[in-house]
Amino acid sequence: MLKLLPNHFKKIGLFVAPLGLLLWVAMQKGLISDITLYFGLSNSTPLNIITAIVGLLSFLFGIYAMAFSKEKIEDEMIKNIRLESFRTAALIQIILITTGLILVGLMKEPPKDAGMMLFFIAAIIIFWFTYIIRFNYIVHFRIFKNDK
Amino acid sequence: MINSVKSNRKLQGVTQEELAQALKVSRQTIISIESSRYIPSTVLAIKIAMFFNKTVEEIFELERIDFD
Repeated sequence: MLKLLPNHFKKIGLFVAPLGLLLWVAMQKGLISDITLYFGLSNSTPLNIITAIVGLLSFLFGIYAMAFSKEKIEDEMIKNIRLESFRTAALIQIILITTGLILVGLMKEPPKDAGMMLFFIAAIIIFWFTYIIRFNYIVHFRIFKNDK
Repeated sequence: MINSVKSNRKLQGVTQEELAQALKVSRQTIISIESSRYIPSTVLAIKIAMFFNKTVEEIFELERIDFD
């Protein structure tokens, strides 16, 4: 069985994932190129590549840390909610992919390779977001709401 | 399945947090068991019964729907 990360990794993930995404967006918007020009460097490509790699890896690590960190007390019910959340996320992903592929099939001008790759990347990210949001919502909000 | 965890806990003057600590589970688990939203495993059910010095049947009771 896969071992979960210690609880404090959840906070690290919560900090690192948005930071990685920001770096990646900054690179896409050309901010890194602007910064290199500001400092008088003519070739911005290496810095752009490094920023893209660091940003994407930080984002993926952040998502991984948020999804696979233990709760303060990781008991049987928490494990159960974790499993249910995976099931829900997988179901939503299958529905999204099926609907998306049907829509692509119905299009007169279907998207090319890059568009399809973006679609599948979005499907993967939606899976992780659904899992993280559902799990944390149930464990930290819905259960306490029921208690009231 | 219905249970009398909440009433037994209140009878003994124990908070959800204290019961959770004694059973080494989260407070969320105690809340869910008390509201019958989560059915504990046999091990946890026995631990709960032992905590209240009662039998499992005295704490947990099957409903008609459980036999269907």
